[in-house]
Amino acid sequence: MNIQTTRRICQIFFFVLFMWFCVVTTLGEQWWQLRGWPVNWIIQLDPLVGLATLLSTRTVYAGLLWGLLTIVLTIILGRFFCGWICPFGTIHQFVGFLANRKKSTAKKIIDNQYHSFQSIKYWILIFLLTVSALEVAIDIILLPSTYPLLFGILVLGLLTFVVYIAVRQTSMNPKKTGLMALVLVGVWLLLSFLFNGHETSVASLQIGLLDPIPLVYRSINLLILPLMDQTSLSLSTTPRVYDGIWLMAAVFLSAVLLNLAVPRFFCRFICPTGALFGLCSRFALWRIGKTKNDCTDCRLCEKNCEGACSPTSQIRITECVLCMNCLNECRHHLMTYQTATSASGEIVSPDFSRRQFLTSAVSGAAVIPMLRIGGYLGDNWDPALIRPPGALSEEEFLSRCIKCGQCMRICPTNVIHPAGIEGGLEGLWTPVLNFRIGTSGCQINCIACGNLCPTAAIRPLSLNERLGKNRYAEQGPIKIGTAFVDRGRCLPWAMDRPCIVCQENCPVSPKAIQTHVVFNTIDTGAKLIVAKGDPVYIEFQETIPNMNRFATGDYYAVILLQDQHPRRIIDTWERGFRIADAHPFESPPLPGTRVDIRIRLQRPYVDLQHCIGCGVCEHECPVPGKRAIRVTADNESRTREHALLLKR
Amino acid sequence: MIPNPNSDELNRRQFLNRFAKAGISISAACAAGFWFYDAKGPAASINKRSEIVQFDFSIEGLGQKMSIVQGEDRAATLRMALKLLGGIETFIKKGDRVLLKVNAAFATPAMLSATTHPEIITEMARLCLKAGAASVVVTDNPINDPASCFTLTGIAEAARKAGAKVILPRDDLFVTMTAKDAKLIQNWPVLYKPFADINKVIGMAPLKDHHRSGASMTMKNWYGLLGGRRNIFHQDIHGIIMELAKMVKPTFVVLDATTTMMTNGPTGGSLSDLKNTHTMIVSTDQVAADAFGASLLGRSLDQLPFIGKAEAAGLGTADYQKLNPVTGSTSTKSSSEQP
Amino acid sequence: MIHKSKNISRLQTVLSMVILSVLMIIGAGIWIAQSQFNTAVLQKGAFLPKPTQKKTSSQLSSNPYFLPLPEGIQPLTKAEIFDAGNLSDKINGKAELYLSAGFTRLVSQRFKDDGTADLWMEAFVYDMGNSQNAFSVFSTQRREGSESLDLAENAYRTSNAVFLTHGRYYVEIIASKVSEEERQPGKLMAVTFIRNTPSEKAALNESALFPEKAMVKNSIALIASNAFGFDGLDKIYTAEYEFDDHSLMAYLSRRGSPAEATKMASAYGKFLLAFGGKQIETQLPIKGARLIEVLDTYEIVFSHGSYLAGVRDAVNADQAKNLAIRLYDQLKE
Repeated sequence: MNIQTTRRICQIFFFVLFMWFCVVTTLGEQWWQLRGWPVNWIIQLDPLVGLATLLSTRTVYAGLLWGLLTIVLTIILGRFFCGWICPFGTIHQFVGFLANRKKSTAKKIIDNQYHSFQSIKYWILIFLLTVSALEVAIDIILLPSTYPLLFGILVLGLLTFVVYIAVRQTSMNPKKTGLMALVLVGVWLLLSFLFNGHETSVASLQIGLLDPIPLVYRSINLLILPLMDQTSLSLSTTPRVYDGIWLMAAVFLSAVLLNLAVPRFFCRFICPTGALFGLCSRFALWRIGKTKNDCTDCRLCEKNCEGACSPTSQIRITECVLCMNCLNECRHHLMTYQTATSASGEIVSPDFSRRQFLTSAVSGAAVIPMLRIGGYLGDNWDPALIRPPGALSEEEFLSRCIKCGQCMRICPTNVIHPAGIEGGLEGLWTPVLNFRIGTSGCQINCIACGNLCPTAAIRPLSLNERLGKNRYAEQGPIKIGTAFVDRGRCLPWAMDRPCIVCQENCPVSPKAIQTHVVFNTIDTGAKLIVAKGDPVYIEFQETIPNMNRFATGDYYAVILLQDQHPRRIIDTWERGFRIADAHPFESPPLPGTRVDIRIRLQRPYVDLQHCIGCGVCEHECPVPGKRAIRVTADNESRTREHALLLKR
Repeated sequence: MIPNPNSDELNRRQFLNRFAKAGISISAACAAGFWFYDAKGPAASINKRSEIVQFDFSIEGLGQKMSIVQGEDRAATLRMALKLLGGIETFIKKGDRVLLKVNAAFATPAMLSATTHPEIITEMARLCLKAGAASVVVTDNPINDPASCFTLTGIAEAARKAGAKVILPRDDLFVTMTAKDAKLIQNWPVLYKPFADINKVIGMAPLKDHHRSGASMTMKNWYGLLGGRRNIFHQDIHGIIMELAKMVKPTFVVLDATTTMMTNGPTGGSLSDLKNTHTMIVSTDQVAADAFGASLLGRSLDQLPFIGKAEAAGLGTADYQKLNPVTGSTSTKSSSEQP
Repeated sequence: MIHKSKNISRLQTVLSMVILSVLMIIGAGIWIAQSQFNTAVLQKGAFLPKPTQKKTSSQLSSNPYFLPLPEGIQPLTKAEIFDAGNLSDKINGKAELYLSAGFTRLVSQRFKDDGTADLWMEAFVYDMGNSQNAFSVFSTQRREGSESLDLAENAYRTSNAVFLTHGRYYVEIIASKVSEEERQPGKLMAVTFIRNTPSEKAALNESALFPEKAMVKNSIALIASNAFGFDGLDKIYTAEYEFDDHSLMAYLSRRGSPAEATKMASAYGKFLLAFGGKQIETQLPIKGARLIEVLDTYEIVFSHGSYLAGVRDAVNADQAKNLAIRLYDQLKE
């Protein structure tokens, strides 16, 4: 069997598997729902996710260890992941194939030429890794003060090295090296003095912006599948909605459509994971190459070369994605996958100079501290930034979230959405809750988002911890915010209309919304003077316009200056009304007395002790535009500084 | 077809070279992967237990002493108050590093008595240095902007005059910690770093009325060590004052009641809020000092629940007479001792 | 060359086979993994209720209280059991009343009556722990103007339902519509229940101690806890009286010991005084009794032996004294 065919089968296998994982990411037990499908497996296989989170959190979290397998296999085999597994790559390859199949051979060969801009992906990789690595970098800078012994050993080692090259007289200039070593140690000490004592953490995980696996996961889950919701193949009862999707759509569409210009555009020029694989494949035991230097330079091998690695001349191992297309294109059967280097030579390093490396690194190191001067992690925090229950405190959260969109996909009520820049630029596409949209608030008994998050940016909670039961009883339930009644918009507060939908729907027990009962006098448009009265009926001297509106059961009658006890009106006719039997007038109203009709209003107020910020009230509030009760992130459990109450 | 004569040999060497390097890379990757492997994931931030701390700077074996001196001149009454307890040498020894915790909460002039008076700061620093202290620092975490507070109150100048150093409450001087046996001060930023190499702490507070707690005296002075959004503690003001007194056991406290803010505390703002009570109190028992201060303010102990709470927690005694306070007066130039 | 290409293609074939088998192993592994449900899925059943059945209650195979069923009556649903934890799932806000009165278990089931068209009933059997508690929830929910039945110690019916207590059980049988005919399926069910359930020996019933004259019929109630707004008052029997168009209430409660009764009387008196009441000096032949005027009504509170007793809501001090003395006489016997 042709290895090309196998490669195609493998790509289709992983693509179908990936699409299946996307489809089943719905909470439930049916065969087409989550059950135990390992939907995060392909994210976990991506070693850039593992590496970046290792740098920003100093741990390899649970399933991310799968990335180690990919790295090990890449070190042995080369960039097999790009050509055989990556579903995003499969999409690009397929779109490229469709777009370019009518082109002439000569045009195709030109399109697949190596372009120096292919080194941009290395800049992107270094930039994003530096952003994640700041934490570790600060650790290293502070080494002189935290672990002086280790620092001493390292300096000693450096000195030994300088002496060694001085003695051995190798190609390195000992004086110059010695001077550089001295400067390095000096700068190191100076920096460690500058940064000493500051407790700020500076790492931020931005790998999710361009890492292909999170990108393709969120694009399919949040963009393509909701499109299917409009058809009969819908996966959810109501079509899913995601606020701010326009940017993701733009990125995804651009990446896919650029294949019309250059095949595998994203893979060649942008993909940082591909760049990482490229760097890891320099020691690959097997590589594509020519068996003999017998080449006629016909360049047919480059006709379908996916990686634009120029197999004709010196093959660039860092660009080759092992598509195996060149193996069978070559009319002279020169191309093969062998342990020997290619007969016409190979290049194992990317086209990436030291200067470019330093530029990327320095920009990466500078960007996050500069952004954070905006203060959004401190006093300037945005109260609209409601994170899912179980989310870590904001600094830790931003150093773990890969923006994969799994939490947004699994949320059964569709309230988790990708953020715009309200959480700062770092927070782009991180999960934030919006209770106006979706099917309800954040369900009190649901622990889905945390149990799906591949990097534990949202911790996997147990139901007991979420509800504050049993051994979590002392710390109480997890609060994601607090609801605040907008008395200028609330029907019973501002508009004399009865409504307590918010209280009815409040899911906690005891309810976190209580009410004050008031009776407000209604202007009926007429003077209500009694003509005749008995213990349950009153008839007035005039007819009253629209009397039937008072028969809803919310209206009460009060006899002025005689009796202050309001009694419920249960029936009306144009000249009068009847009150409920339960509380008849003790002495029937005398003719000539004035009567007030009052509406009974229950005015809601929030009980801060019990409100968990679940947003069901905001969702159910009948004021459709700007809701009359809204949740903000005040008093959220995850950040002590945002507490409202002394005792939670 | 020109075969490469050395190709097999070269290839094998290259292959072995690569094999070795690949092997090393794989081992390094695996080692890193398993070393940093974390199956459990992060704990909830609020569950992180921070260091448990208590600041105990009291002198062992000294016993509880208190002195009360009448007089108009602050520096003089302070000197006499210390002299009546055996002089500054009883408390400060040669080589001590002293920290004066003052009240610099507001950026108001000293005459409004909302903050510690610069005269007693100069005097105290001078006395400490005279007794042989190696250094004296002055610090507080004000409510208004720190730099303006220390300057406009005259405290910065006062410290400088006597050779003491002012430590402004920079962000990196705060450490998140939990006070020992505390329910409120848990995982809270406290102005901790200035205390790192200190061995004597003196609290210096003016006697003031306070709208929320009833009075602001020596125990409430430690509120100025809290950072973060500490206003939240006003929801349990008497509880927090008690926990602050539990957290900090100073060497001694000075309660300056020369000009007392009788109303409109803690900011005051008008000279009509003040009354010349002309008293200076020095005490090793902050509960007793506050209890006496209450009497000068015209408040009963019932009106100041934090005193009762502190006493119940064993932090001192509200019945200050039990301490046999030594009294004196600078105007008559005579001192009397109570038997 | 052809030789070479054959070799190569054999190598490729072998490799392909290996790779395809790896893919199959991966597929198998994933298939196995999907049967270990994610924690979030295991929790899901708890919050998205299935429309047909409530998974939160457990089920009985048969309802022992009503077997054998009366002729013509068939079960419509399975019987469900609710305990204190999930009672509110069934009866919502009313649960509070039962929970504070010693509720232990509810068995509910629906039945249909072949004899009556379009009629179905739901029977609720509340196990309240003891007969006092059962009487408490019975009396506090008693509908005014209902017709008493003599088939049980305490029973009454409304147009479509029967309510009764029997020993420690409080039973409600509620029909979907009013039954016009002779045949009364609700009563039949009630009789079946009483026949099936042994009644415990009733404890000394305090309600017998109330003076009978001028008492409003069927007004005896038992307040389980928090009576009259005072925390300490529980298990208080009350009865309403009417004198000359004025209504007032007498109450009594058996406490553990005479000391306890005296303590409670004094505490309640203090409570009334703290509430703005004024004690009025008066001559009463009742030892330790206090007459207090509070909120425009008169109250008398006293204790005798282990009983706490008193009168309240009286608009007229003489009437209050009168009733108090009569109550005292009853207690003395």
